[in-house]
Amino acid sequence: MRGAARPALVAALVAVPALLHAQDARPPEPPPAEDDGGYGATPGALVPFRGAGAPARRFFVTAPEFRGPGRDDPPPADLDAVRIGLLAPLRGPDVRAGKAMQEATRMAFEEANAAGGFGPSHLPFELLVRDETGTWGAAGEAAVELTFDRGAWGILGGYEDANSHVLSRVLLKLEVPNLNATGVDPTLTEHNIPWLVRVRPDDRQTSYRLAQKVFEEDARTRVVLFRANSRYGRTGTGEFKDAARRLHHPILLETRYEPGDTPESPEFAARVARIRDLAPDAVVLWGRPGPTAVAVKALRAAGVTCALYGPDRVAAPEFLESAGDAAEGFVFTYPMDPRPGRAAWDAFRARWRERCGDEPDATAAFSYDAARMLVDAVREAGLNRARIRDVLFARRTYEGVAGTIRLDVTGNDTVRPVLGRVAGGRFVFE
Amino acid sequence: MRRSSSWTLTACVAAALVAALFAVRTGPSVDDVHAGDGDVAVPEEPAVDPWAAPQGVTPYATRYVRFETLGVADGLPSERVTCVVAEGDDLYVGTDAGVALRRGGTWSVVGEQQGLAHRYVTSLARDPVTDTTWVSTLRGLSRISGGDVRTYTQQGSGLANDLVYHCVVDGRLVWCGTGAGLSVLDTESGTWSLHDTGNSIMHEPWCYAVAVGPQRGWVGLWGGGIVEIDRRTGRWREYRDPDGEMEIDLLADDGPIHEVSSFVAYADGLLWQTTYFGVSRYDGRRWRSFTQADSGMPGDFVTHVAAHGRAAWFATDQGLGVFDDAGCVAYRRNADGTCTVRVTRPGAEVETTTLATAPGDDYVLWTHPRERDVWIATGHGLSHGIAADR
Repeated sequence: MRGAARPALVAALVAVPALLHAQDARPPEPPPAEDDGGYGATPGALVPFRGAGAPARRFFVTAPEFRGPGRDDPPPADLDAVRIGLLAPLRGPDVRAGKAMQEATRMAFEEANAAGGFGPSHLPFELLVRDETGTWGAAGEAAVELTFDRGAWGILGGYEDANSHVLSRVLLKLEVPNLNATGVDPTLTEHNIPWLVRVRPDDRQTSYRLAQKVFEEDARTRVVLFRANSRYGRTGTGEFKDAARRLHHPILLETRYEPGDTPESPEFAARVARIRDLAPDAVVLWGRPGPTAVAVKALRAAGVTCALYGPDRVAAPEFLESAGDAAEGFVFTYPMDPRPGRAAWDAFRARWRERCGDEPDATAAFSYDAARMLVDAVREAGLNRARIRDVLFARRTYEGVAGTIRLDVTGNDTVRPVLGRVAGGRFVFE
Repeated sequence: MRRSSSWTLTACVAAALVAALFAVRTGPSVDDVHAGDGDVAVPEEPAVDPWAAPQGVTPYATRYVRFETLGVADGLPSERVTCVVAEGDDLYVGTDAGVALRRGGTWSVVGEQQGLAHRYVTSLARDPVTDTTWVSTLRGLSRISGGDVRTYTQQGSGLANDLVYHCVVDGRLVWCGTGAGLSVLDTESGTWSLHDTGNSIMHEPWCYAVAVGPQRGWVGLWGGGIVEIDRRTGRWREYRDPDGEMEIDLLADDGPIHEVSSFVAYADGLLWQTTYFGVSRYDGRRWRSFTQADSGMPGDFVTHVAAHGRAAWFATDQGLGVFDDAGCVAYRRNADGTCTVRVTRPGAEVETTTLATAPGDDYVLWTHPRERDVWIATGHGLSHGIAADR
């Protein structure tokens, strides 16, 4: 979180207070839609097959249960630490997020250890970090190693959703709790696996909020989807496309960009020209910040002047640095409200600044909250994986530094994201 | 897990798989593979309809009158049993602490110290012709044969991923469902073929289970329903829940009940899919889905299915469920060690009886039914269900 990431985020958060009323630093949370209450806090207008009658079967009506053995397993007698695994990207395009995940988790464990660690013998919480990147399936293999060879009591992470899926698939065999603080794929928690909890809102919530903004609040009707040609781009936009159809504004065009695309690339230029020729009144971009910045610059350079929107993963410092002026006005979702004025968040920011020298982002905040949730669950349940799982799934809300985490029956955070935009080269929040 | 004994068919299968892979390597698009274009061998023997129900299938018993359970005291390395194969009086048992073999009445254990890829065994497959036991684990595939243990991993073989969830022996082929695709080993040539999202119709690469039938194979995908390969033509086909939503099943019998397949099995013209939301059955023309609420199944969280004739044995987290043509028989353990048997027949009152003995646990992970008995892998030991004498 040092270096290039710092100036933009610091600038962003310096800009935030100016938007607020002095006597009312905390705006009210976005109200849920009146007819929310079904799966995924889905607004009524976005419910699948609405009007087609009741589906034959509804899933995710009750919380997944683990009915297997293990709750009577005694704790090991010779432990010198309570080991917890963390799967994070330690290299590649998501390395900045990986650093935030590590730092936030270490911070939570150090605070927990300073407060007495675990149990009467004050066992320290020890973090075991593994790289989720590398060979395909590295996350699953790391989870096997952490659980069987290192005796981890829980696993935090991963970040990239294909890796998180690999991890989720093996959880049922490992019987170890997994708290995911950074994954965005809506299907990650749609397996009925009773070992996985996600503490941040996913791209379902992101899509709902973006659809509300684009089609209802901003009254856009001619919308193009310009997304990364990746699993993230595919799975992330699924709910947005569905929402567009259900709001009677089907996407005009869906086209893609690659990580290595440049404005000089003929195919990329042709796609951009096609978007321009359609004269849309909005373009929704979905991908990692770097390639999305290239796409934004290309659109503006081609004369596309309409409103641009995207999900929270775009809202990273490298997006501002790469896109420059072309990013002005870009509207994005954010999984938490980063404005000052909430005691837990303000205190976390202060500790983080002292520790890291920069401002924390949502990845840091949710990673810290996930680590604290797991520490709390271990303390409450004792050293028994099934009982730790039970504690995690029994919770429906958690007050964290990222705000209130509201888990649905699948163990998925359904808090509605907030909106931000780029103004004056900074991220500001509405 | 039906095993073909026909070497002719097996050779054709191998040729088709290799040819399918070759077709991909030479550059056709995914659509080409879907359409079955390319140089794919067709066996000389007449085509067999996999959906034709064969006549004269000897029915297996589905009603058991007593249960016995084996545990650590009997020679198992762990109480947590994950899978089992029975051949005569011999047993091949997978656990979370290695493989236990009972041969000639004597138990032995093969674990990591003996060269097993990993101690957590996800499945076992037997090749009785060569007396070889194939073991899928969370860290690779192992072959136990003649006292030797050989392991195949992602780094040292054609195995797509070290997370091997299921292996099936089919003549000289060993099909492996892995975390990154379907890997098939030709044990005669030692070559591997790989099928994943890059060269097949798979929507996701996470293969959880494999079933092999006449001229076709099926792979249960985590998040991608079921894919089918016609081994004569190399054509792929997929079976998905048509509504495309994970949180509902819009129409009850319009396809697989859910996209997340936990297991598949084929026998005698019927394909079965299990999920963590219920089970589905396909007969080549029509899908039927079954849940706890509408069928008498002991639970909807189903991890394994074994099939024979028109019957199927389901491993659920709330007991053993057995379907036959007339309905469902559910076996659940009571706190006092007895077993409640609930028989649900369409249009009839539920019949409930109590047995003096029960499976070791309601957390069932695997079953191996036979003509007059069933072996059951549970969270507390390996159980043996025995039918009444004829």
